[in-house]
Amino acid sequence: MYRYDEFDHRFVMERTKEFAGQVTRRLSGELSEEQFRPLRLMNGVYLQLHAYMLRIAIPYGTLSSRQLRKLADIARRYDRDYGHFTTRQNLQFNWIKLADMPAILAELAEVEMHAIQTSGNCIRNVTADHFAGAAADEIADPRPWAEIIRQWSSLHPEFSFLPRKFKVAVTGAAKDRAAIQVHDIGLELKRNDKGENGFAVWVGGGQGRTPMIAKKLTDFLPESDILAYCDAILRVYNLEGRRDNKYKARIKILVHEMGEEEMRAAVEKEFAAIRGKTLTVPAPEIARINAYFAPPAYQLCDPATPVFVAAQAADSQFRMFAERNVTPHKQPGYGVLTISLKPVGGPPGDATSSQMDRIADLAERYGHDEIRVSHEQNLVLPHVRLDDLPAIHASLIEGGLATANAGLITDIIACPGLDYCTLANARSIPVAQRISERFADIARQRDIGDLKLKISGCINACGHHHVGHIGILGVDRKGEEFYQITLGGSGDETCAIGEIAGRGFSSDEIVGAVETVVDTYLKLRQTPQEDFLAAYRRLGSAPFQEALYVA
Amino acid sequence: MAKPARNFEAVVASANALASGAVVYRTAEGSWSPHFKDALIARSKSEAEALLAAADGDVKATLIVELALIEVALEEGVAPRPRSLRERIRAEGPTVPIPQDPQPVIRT
Repeated sequence: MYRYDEFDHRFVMERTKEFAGQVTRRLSGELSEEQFRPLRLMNGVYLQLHAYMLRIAIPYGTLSSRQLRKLADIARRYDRDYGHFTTRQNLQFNWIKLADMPAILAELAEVEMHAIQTSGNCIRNVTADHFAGAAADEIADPRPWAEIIRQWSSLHPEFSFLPRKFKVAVTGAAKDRAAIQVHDIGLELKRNDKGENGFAVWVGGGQGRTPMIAKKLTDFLPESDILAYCDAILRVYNLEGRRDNKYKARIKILVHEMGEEEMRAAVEKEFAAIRGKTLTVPAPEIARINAYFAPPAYQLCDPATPVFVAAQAADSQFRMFAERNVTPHKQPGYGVLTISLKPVGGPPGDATSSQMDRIADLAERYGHDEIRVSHEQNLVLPHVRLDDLPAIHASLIEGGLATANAGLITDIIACPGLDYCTLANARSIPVAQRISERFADIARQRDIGDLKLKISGCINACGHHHVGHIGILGVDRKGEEFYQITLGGSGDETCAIGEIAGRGFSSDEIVGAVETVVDTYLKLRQTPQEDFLAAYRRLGSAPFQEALYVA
Repeated sequence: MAKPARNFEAVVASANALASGAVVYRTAEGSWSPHFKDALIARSKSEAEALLAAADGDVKATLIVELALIEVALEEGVAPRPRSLRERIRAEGPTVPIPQDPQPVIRT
C-alpha cells in the first residue's frame, strides 16, 4: 500500500490544524454559519437531518487493518458504534459532534487518513476497481495511477473551485467494476499490441438529474501523458463549464452541449500545449509508485486447494458462500473475497465497530493486511488463500457477515435517503430492507441470478439507480413517498441508463412491483443462464410494462 | 413556513444545536429541548413571528443553526406531530434501527 510522503504528511497536518482553528472560531461565534459552511465542506463535514456527518476519504477504496480499526475506534468513541460505506468507496459517520471534529481528524491523520476533497467543487477522492491488483481478468493494476492522480489533484490550486464537483474513476480490467462511464473522467488502463500500457479516456459521464454516458475521447493515451491529458480536460471544463446554473454545471452538460467532436478538439488543443512538459509522469516516479502496490508475498499453497474443496463438499452453506462471494484471483490457490454488508433486513453498507474490527483482524491474519471498500457498499479482502476460506467463513458467521449474496438481488445499493439525508425526498433504506426480506430465500435469489438493484432517495442518484438493472428512485408527491422504477440500466462496460418503466408506486406497492418485474423475467428468460439484463435487452421494456401496468 | 392567517398552520421553531448538531425545539421558556413534545406551538401568524424572532437571537448567539418554523398537525385527541415525514424523522429519529452486532450464536 501507498505510504504518505513528507508532502502528504505536511498538508494533512496543516489542514487538520487549520480546521481545528476554524471550528473553535465557529463555536465562539467569531465565524458565522455562512462563513463557516464552505470551510467545513472542504473538510468533509455536512450538517444532515440529525447531526453532523463526516465523510472520510478512502483513496481508491483501499484500507489497511490499522486504518479500519481506527475507523471502528472512532465509531465507538465518537459516533453510535457504526459507520456507513458509500458508493464512492468512502466512509460516513452520521452522528458526529462538531466540537469533536478536530480530535477525530487528528486521530485520522495518525493513520494517514483525512476528509479533504470529499465535498465541494473540487476533484473528489479517486475511485478504482475494488478488485484491483487481485482479479484474474486484470490487465494492469489501476491503483498506482489512482494514487498518481490523487497526488496531482490534492489541493490543486487551479482546480479547487471548479464549476461543480469532479469525479475520476480508474479500472485496469476490460470488465468494468468501477462504473467509469458514469464518471466525469473514466480511465481504462489497457495494453496495446506493442505491450505498452495506456489509457482509454472517457469524459462527461454522470448520474444525477441528467444522467449521461461518457464519451470516449481517446482509445489509447500513453500512460505517462495521463496527468497532462486530465489537466487539459480540467482546463477546458474550468473555463467553459457553466457557473450560472448549478444543475447545468457538471462537465457532462458541457460535453453534451459542445458535442463530442468539439470537446475532443478543445482538449487536444490544450493537451498539445502542455504535452511533454512538467506534467509528463517520469518513468522513475511511475516505478516508485508501482513499488508501493507490488503484489503481496503470496504464501505457498497447494494448487489443488484441498481444504477449500473438502469444505465445499461437506458444507452446503459454505459452498454457496464460495460460489457467490469469491472471485478468481490472478494467483493460483488464492481468491478475492467479497464480504457482504447486505444482511437480509439490514441497512446496505453499514458495519458496526466490532464488525470492522473483525474484518481488520481477518485481513491481518489471512489477507495480507488489506481491505477494499467497493462502490457496491461491500468490503473486500483482495488476497486470501482459498484454503483459509473455511476459517474466514466461520468467523464471518459469528460476526453476522457471512451473507452469501454478492451480486444477487439482495446485494442492494441504497443511499441513506430520508432517514438521514437533508437532500432526500423519500426513504431508501426501508425499501431496501423490505425487498431483501421479500427475496430472503437464498435458493430463490440464486435462481434469479445476477441482478443489480439500486435505490436512490432523490434525483441526485447517490444510490446509482440510473445504472441499476432494476433502479428505484424515491420521489415526494404531495407529501407522500412514491417510487419510480427504471429498467435495464448498467454501470459496467456495456453501460446503459435505465428506462423509466412508467408511473411510480406507493411505498406499499413498490416491493410487489419489483417482484412483478422479477417474476416476468423468470417467466420469459430463455435459459437460467440468461441473466436479467440480457433478458431485458432481448425483450425490451414492453413485457415488463405490461406486467406492471396492464395485467 | 407561516401562511396567511386564514389558512394558518400551527408551527414550532426547530434547529440543530451548533456544537452537537442535535435536533432541538424552542420551548415556552425560551430554551431548546431535544424533544418535540416540549416545543412551544405557535397558533397564529403573530405568535409564529414572535417565536421566530426570539429564536433567531440564538442563531446570533451561536447556540443553534438551520433555524426554521415547521408545520405541526393538530388533531383532537392525538399528540401534536410534525406534518411532514421529513420533520417527523427529524423529531423521532431514523425509521430504521441503528445497526447492532448480531446476537451470539447459541449452539445447542
